[in-house]
Amino acid sequence: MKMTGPWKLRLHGNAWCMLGMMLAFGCAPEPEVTYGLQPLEIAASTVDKDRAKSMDQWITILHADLFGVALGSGELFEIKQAFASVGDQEIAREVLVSNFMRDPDVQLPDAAVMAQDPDAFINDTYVRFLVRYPTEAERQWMRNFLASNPNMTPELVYTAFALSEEYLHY
Amino acid sequence: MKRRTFLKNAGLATAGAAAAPIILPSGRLFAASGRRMTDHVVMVAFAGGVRQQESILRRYVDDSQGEPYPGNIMYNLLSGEAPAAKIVYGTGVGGIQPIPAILPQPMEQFGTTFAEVSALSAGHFGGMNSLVQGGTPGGQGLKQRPLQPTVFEYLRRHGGYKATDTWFVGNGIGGSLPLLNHSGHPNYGPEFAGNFFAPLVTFVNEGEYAFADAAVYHPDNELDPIRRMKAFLDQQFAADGTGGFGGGLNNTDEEKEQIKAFMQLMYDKVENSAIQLPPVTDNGDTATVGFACEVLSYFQPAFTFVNLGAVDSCHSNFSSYLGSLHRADHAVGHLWNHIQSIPEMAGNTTLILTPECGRNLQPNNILDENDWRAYDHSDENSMRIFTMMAGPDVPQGLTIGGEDNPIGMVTDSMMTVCDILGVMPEVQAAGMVHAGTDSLFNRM
Repeated sequence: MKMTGPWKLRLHGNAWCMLGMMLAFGCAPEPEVTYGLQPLEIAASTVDKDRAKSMDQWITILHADLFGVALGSGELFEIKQAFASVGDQEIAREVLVSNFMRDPDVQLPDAAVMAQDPDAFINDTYVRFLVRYPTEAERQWMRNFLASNPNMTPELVYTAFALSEEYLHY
Repeated sequence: MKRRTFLKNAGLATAGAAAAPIILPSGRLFAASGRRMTDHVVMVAFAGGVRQQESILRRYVDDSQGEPYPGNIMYNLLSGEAPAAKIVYGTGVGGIQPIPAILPQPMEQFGTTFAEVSALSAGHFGGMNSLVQGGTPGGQGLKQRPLQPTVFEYLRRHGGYKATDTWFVGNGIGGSLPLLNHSGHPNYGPEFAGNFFAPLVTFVNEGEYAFADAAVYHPDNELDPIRRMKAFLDQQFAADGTGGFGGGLNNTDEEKEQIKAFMQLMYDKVENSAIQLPPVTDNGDTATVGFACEVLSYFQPAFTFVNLGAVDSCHSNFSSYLGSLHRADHAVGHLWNHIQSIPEMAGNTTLILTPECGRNLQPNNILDENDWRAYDHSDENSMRIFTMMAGPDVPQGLTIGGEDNPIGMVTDSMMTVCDILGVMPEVQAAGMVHAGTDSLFNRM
């Protein structure tokens, strides 16, 4: 259908308007954007951790800390359902941590490494779970505790850290 | 030891016991002030919405589908002849084989029946809250903890029961169900909560993935150092006590290990098909009751709340509803039998069952495979329910009230539990249950 009269004029006007906008905005040079990671300073104290992790956060962070990989959304959903079916959430957390520890893919340091260089193990464990270095008093306590409890394994240490109150906060 | 010395020592011990207050786990110095009839109560939320017409009134399809076949399909709970025809509630193709009774006589004959009880809500949410709180959930939102204390909290706070003495065995985790084991009331709350499992999730499906392979640590060599290290870490953190998302229920360390060992036992039993299931277990309710039996065997709790709900299929399938009602009856029969098989609970347990709400008088338009119409729950007929109870102190063969003579309320069931376990005076004094709520023993 052929357009005549005012319709034709309006069409021409709109076309000129669009062309103007394209010239004004469409050809602007793209800004130069770079992405990277900012170094995060590891804190030395617990004072900043005043927010409780949600269940999702705790589970996914725990999985990442123990396995070094992210937890799939399907697995997260299943674990959350399981948590909802247990009244005592402390028990649910303890059993989940223990369950993860039985997984062959869990990344646990060798007990010999812990025994050979307890200070390094303590530092690594604090950083891994609590995202901070231990204070000197904490390092000393941990060193003495490991020395006086020969049954303590990396699995048991990791369990204690994963179930700690501090690990429930960020 | 000479007899005189023995008597002297025994006398001193008795005098000491009489003079020294007993410090209960709740921190109370003295036991609850009410009477205590049996040491154990099992309360069944015979839930999902049960019409009086097919249950206590024994009218089968005569009062629902216009078919002239009345009869009783709850062989373990009620007396009376089964329907003469149109059998669809049993097993096999078309459900034509009824499940035989497993109790030597129906509970109606060895217990007391309140044949016409008033519900306070026509819905599941309100009804379940009536059963656990003794009130209506006024102002309480969905997916929210009860506003008023639950029966678990009353028992634990006023009766001094420990956490593993009170259990809620749920048929799932839908809606607000997992939140009903304790309220958010400032004077009660999680410190006095009941333990909760939804076994078909915890032990069969998702829970198996999350929990089944957990180790049971050695109490001295492994658990103790874990706890000491955790205690040190918590001390350094100076936590605010909130415990992060979802805290504990004041289970002691010993109780926690007991619960974990129970969980491990359940995974083993599931793998070996050794759960103490009812003879016919082909739906969620019957399976849930099987796990409830396991809880009873393992913990011998003072109070156990078991929730059923399969009859809610009545929204869209009346035949399925009849089958579920028949199975709920079968499951309760199995539960009663199982209780009698536990030495600590046999002859020392009261069982009480109540639907949380009824169903409509008129059907909706959904037809099932038998061209029978389905029923929702929203009208006056949905406010009609019944209650049955049995136990050593419960009169036998007694029926109270009837179709034209309603006696009792849905909230009476929780008050009756409190009465049996000795905390009714404290619950009444707290003043948070629905007005007029009373122990069913006071209505006999």
